[in-house]
Amino acid sequence: MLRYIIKRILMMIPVLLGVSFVVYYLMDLAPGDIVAQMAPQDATPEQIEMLREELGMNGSVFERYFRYLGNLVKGDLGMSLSQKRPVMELFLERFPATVELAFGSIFVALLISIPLGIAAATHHRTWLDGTSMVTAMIGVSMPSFWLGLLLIMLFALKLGWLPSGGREGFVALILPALTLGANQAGNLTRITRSSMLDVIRQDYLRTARAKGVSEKQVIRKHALKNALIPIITVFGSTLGNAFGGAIMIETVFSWPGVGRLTVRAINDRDMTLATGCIIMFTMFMTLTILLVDIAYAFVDPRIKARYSK
Amino acid sequence: MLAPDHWRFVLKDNVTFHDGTILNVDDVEFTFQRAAEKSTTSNYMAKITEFIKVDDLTFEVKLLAGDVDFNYTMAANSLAILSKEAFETMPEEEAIKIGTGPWMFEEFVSGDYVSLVRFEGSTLYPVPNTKRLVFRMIPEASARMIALENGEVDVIMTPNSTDYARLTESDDLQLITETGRTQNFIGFNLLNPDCVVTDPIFRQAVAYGVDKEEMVIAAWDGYAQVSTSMMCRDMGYYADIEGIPYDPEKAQQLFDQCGATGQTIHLVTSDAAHRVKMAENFQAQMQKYGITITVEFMQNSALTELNTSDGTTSGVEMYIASWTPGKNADYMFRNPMHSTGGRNYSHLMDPEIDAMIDAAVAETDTTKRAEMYRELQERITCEIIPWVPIAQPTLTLGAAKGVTGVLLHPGLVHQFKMIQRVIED
Amino acid sequence: MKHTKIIALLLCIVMAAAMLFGCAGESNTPATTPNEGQQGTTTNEGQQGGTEQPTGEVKYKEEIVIAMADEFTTIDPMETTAETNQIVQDCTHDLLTDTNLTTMQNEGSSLTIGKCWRPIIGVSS
Repeated sequence: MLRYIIKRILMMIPVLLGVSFVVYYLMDLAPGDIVAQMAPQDATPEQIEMLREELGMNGSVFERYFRYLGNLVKGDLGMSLSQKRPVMELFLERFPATVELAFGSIFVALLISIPLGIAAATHHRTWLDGTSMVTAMIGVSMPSFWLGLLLIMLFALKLGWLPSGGREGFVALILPALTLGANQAGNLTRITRSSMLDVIRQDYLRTARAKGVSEKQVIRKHALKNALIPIITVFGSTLGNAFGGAIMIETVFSWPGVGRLTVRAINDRDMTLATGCIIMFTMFMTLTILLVDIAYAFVDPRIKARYSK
Repeated sequence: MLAPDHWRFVLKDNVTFHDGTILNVDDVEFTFQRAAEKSTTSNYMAKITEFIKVDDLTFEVKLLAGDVDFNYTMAANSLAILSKEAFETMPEEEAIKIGTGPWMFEEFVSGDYVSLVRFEGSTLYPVPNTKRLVFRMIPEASARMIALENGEVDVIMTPNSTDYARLTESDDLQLITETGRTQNFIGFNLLNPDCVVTDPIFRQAVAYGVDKEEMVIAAWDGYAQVSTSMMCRDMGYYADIEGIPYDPEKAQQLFDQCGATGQTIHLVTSDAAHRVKMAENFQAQMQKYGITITVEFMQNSALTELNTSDGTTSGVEMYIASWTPGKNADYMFRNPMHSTGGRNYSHLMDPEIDAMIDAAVAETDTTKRAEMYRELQERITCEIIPWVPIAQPTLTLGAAKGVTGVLLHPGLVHQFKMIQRVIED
Repeated sequence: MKHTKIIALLLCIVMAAAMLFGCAGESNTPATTPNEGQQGTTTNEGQQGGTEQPTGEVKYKEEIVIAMADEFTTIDPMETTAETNQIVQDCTHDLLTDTNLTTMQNEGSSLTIGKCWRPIIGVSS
C-alpha cells in the first residue's frame, strides 16, 4: 500500500511539469503584453524595456520557461509580475478561504445528496423519487451566480439575516457554501440514487431481508457501503475542482479565494502567478484523486489487496 | 523666454510622519533616489540632473532640459514622499506604510479588504472625524449595490448605470457625480497602407457623421459630456472650440467623395461594457451612410498590444479607446499625439505637430501658451483628425445619505482623506 | 415517471409566475436623458469638508466602509500605477505638489507637503 502511494506521488512530477509548460506557453500565445499594461501611460520605449528586463520578460518563451523551470524544481514558484510578491505567498494567503468554501460546500452537498439519493432509490418510481430528481436537476441546471444573487437578495437584503459577501465570521460562509453546495448536490444526488439502485437489487440484500434484518439496517449497513465507490469518485472530483476555486461564487460573494486570484492573473497576463496557481491546483487535484483511491481500499477490501500486490 | 531648468521648492514646517518623525528635505531626497531605481518612476527622475539641499525645508533641482510644468511632475501619485528614517530602521515592507497622510495603514487581507485607522498626530490635516476606514473588494456591481442598501457599506465605487435612478430617488442613498477626465474616442490608424482611413476626407466625414449625443445615451445612459475637442474639459489651457458639428448630409457627401460608401472597415476595441455599446452604436450609425463596420472585441491588454505594435503591419484600421490625462496640458498631447509618445495608437507622425507640442511645453508666457494649445486643438480636432473625440463620462459614486468629504478626481484617483458620515444630530 | 412529469410541470408554472411577477415591477432604467444639471456639475464643492468643527451635537460614524470593484495589492506608491491602489495610498501618503480640483491648477493647498514652489528663471550655471 505504501509503495503504491509513493509511486502515485512520484507520478505527479511529470504531470506538474507538463501542466506548467502547457500553461506557460498558452499564456505567452495569448495576445496582450503585461509589460505594456504595467508601464505608466507616459512611459518611453526605453522605460518599457527596462521594466521588461526587471520582470524577466526578455528573451524567447523557451528561454523564459527554462529560467522559470530552474526555480520551479527548487519549489520556487517565482514572483508575481503584477504584484511583485512571491507567488507561493499570494497563493497561501488565499488558499485557506478556498479550503473553507470547498469543505463548506461539500458538507452542504453531502447533507442534501446522500439522504435525497437514498430516499429516491428506496422509493423508486414514487413522488419522492420524482421530486428528488427534479430538485437535483434544478441544482445542476441553475447558474450558480444567479442562485447566489437570489439568495443574497432574500437572506441579506430582504431578511437581513446574513451578510451579502466578504469573509468575516462563520455566517459569511453560509450563503456561498449553500450556493456552491446546491450546484454540487445535484450531481451527487443522481449518482447516489443510481448507485443505490444497482446495489438494492442484489441477491445478498434479498437474503438479508429474508433473514429478518430491518430495512434500515439493510440500507445503511449493507447497501450504502457497497454503493459508495461511485459516490466517492464523484465526491473526489467535486472536491478537487472546488480547490481550484469557484470563480463565480467568489465573484458574487466577494469571497477572497484562489479562483479570483487565478482569473485576475490570467486577465493581467501575469504568467508566473497564473502558472503557479494552476500548478498548485493540479497538485491538489491529483492529491485528492490519490486520497480517493486510498479511500477505495477502505471501502472495498478487494481493491486494498490489489494495491498491496 | 527660456523654459526654466532650475526649480526651488519649500516644504511645510512640522509635517509629521506616522512614526512621529518630522518631514524634511532628506526625506524628499531619499524618495527621489528610490524613485530613480523603480521602473514606474524612473522617467520622472531622469529629468533631474542635480538635487541641492538649501536647508531642512528648502531644496532646489536642476533639470536636464527646461520644463515649465515640472511642478506637475511632482504631482504624480507614484512620487508620494516617504520617510528616510523609517527605511533605515525598519524592514522595507513596514517602512513603506509610513506616510504623512491622515490615515495609517492597519491591515490588509488579500482579496478581501484593506483597513486604515486615523492618524491622531496628524499635523498636515485636521484629525478625521471617522476612526477607521475600510476598503472592501466587491467585484460584482450588483453585490456592491446590495451591500450599500443593506447598510454593510457606506460608499460604492462605479455603480451600475441601472442603479443611478435608485440612488437618486432613495431617501437613504445618494449619487455623487463629477465630470470625468477620460476622453473616449474613435481612432484611426494613420499608417495602415490599405485602408481609406488614411484619407483625411474620410476621417472628416466620420467626424461629421457621428451623432455623439446618441452615442452618449447608448453607452452611458446619458451620463457623459459630449466632447467638441480632443482635449479634456477642465484641464488647464482647454479651449472651448466648436470642433466638427454633427452634419449627416455633409458626412454623406464626404463619404461619397472619398469613395468610402459601400466599403467594409474593421474596428477593434476592448470588451468593456461602454466600449461594446459605443462600437455597436457606431456600427449602426455608419450603416446609414452605406459603410459596413465589422467589430472585433478583445481584452484590454490585447488591444493595447495591438495598438502599440507597428501601424503598417498591425492590420488595425479603426479602434475605440480612451485617454485619461492625469496632469497637465502637455501630458494630454505628448503621449497620444507626439511621434515619440508611448500611447500614439493612431501613429501620427507629423513633425509640425511634434514641434507645436514641444514649443508649447517650453513657453513660459501663459497667454502665448494658451494660444498655442488652442491652435493644437484646432489642428488636431478639425484638420488632421487622428481621433474623433466622443465624450467624457461622468464619474459616479453611490453613497449613504450623510456621507461627505469625498472628492471624485477627474484622473480617477478619488480622494477619501476627509470622508465622514453624520449619523445623528 | 408520471409523478416526475407532474412535479416538473408544477415547477415550470412556478418559474413562469415568478418571472412575470419579477418583470412586472417598475423599471429602474431612466427612459430619458437625465437632467442637464446632473452632468458636468461639480458636486464636490463644499464636500471637501471635515475641516470645520460641527456645531451642536453631531455624531459621526466611527467606521466607514468603501466598496471597490478592483483589488488592492500594494501600499507602495512606486510599485503600481493602478488607480485602486493609488486611491488607498492617497489616504496614507502625500505629494509634494497636487492639482487643486477647484481651480484645476497645480498650486499649494492644505493637501500638499510643498508649501510653495517656483522656477528659477534663466539658464543655470
